[in-house]
Amino acid sequence: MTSILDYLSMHLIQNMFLATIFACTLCGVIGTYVVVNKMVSITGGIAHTTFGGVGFSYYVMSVLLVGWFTPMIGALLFSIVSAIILTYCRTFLDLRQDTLIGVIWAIGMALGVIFLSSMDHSVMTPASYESILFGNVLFVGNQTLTIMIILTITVLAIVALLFEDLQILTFDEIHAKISNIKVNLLTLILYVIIAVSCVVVANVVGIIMILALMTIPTAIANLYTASLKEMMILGTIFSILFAVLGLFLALAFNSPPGATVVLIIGLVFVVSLSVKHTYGKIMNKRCKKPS
Amino acid sequence: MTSELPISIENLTVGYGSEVILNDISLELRNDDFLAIIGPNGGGKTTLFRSILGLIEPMNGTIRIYGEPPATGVKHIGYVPQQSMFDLRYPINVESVIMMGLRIHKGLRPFYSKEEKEMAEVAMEYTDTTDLRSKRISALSGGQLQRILIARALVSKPKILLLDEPTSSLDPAMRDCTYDVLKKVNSDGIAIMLITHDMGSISHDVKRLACMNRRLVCNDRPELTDDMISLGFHCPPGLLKVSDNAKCSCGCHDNNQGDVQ
Repeated sequence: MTSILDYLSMHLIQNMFLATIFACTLCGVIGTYVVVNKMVSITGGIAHTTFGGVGFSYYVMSVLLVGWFTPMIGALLFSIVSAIILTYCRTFLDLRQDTLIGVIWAIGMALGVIFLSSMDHSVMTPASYESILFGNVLFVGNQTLTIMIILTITVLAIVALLFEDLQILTFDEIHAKISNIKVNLLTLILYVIIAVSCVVVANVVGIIMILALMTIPTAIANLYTASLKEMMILGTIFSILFAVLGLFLALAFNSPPGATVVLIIGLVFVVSLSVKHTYGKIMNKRCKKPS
Repeated sequence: MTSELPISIENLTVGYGSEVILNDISLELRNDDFLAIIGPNGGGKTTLFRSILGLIEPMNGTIRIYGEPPATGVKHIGYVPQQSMFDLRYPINVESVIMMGLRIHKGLRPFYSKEEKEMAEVAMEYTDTTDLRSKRISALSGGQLQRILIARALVSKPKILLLDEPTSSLDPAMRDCTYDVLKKVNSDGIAIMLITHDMGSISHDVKRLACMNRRLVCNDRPELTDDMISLGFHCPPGLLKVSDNAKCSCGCHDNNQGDVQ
């Protein structure tokens, strides 16, 4: 029987854990902005447009024979364009944001299906719908891992440089405006780094489950922290901890890695919320007891 | 000289689309002034503040802040928004909120200097909030949060303080506490302009009173005039007795109108 140590010595498994750790670091940091700024739907919209990008990439690679246009580059292109469209419409057009998110979400998915069905299957075989939508972290190659690491470091550097301004923007937009912060530009940067993060995370859990990894660990961290920095750090720790636990369980029980990770994180969220709620009730009762 | 006035507004008309919200408003905020603007909800009070802060482009008229247009003059202003604007679940502590007031000085530098941190200390001592510095905002009372927002507005040492409904969600004790801070601020030479829809919550320390309901009527004394009552509350002046706890027979009422006397 293959032991865990045997598994860990395999190159693909090492890549799987490294990809998970980098993606989870982004989830802890960027997921914090998603949760505190109530951007879950926006993130969902951007995440699902990456499916169009993946389909477009397969089409370009098979029909136009452009080999460097990998699915990750296609996903980056589509997610960044959707982030720009969302920012433009939020800033300059009087459109309901949720309607726009729905439109972008649906168009992104539809384009993905059309491109995948129009590609030349005699030239190459695309990844299955299942692995695109639900992820297959076992097949993260060296090139993809390198791009993931570069993107993660770039996004974290941007957040470190703009941390104060992003905090002001997400806490009090009016104050940001009167403090000479370029609110429209900063909003665009925030949307774009969310888009890039979605692409990185999609390599671990797939497009459908990006939202879970981007929101649940930081939502748990939000229950126990008093500042944005603490929430980012605790969110990252939770994210890595539960994702690695999920991967080990997936290896042990031979279950799909992405779905197992999401299920573990979801269970922890429910337990955390129950514990916090019960603890709050007990403390309230103690406070109400006459001395 | 007009250019030396903290705020000078002349013939200001502001609207959203084709709807006019402020119609030909002229107003001055003087040095050491403490001006309260009352008026019903939807009367344009917050729109006036947003115009002064440079957030809305006027259709007509001019706003000058120490002789400068709002885009550059806003640096002289400390602004205290309504508490209801904030998501109290946001994970942020008191010190971080107050430091935000220094962003206009900090510029693009990603960290605050030692001098700026000392300015925050001074603002916290001034508003008696030093003990709250590490508390999360969700753990604060309404009065404490109001003092924190005033500290944030004062931390950059502005010459003008604008407050939007500063006492709307406070009980009388907290309201008095907030006004004590504002009295100290005003006595230190900072001109104050506040807006409220609740006449009963206006401080005894207000020096001038104005009423706004799309148009503006201003009195150089802290007293309601017949014009204000007619403009702000659509009541014949005789129905609203300012001197006692009056109730207007046409439906609008206020229990402590004597406060403004």
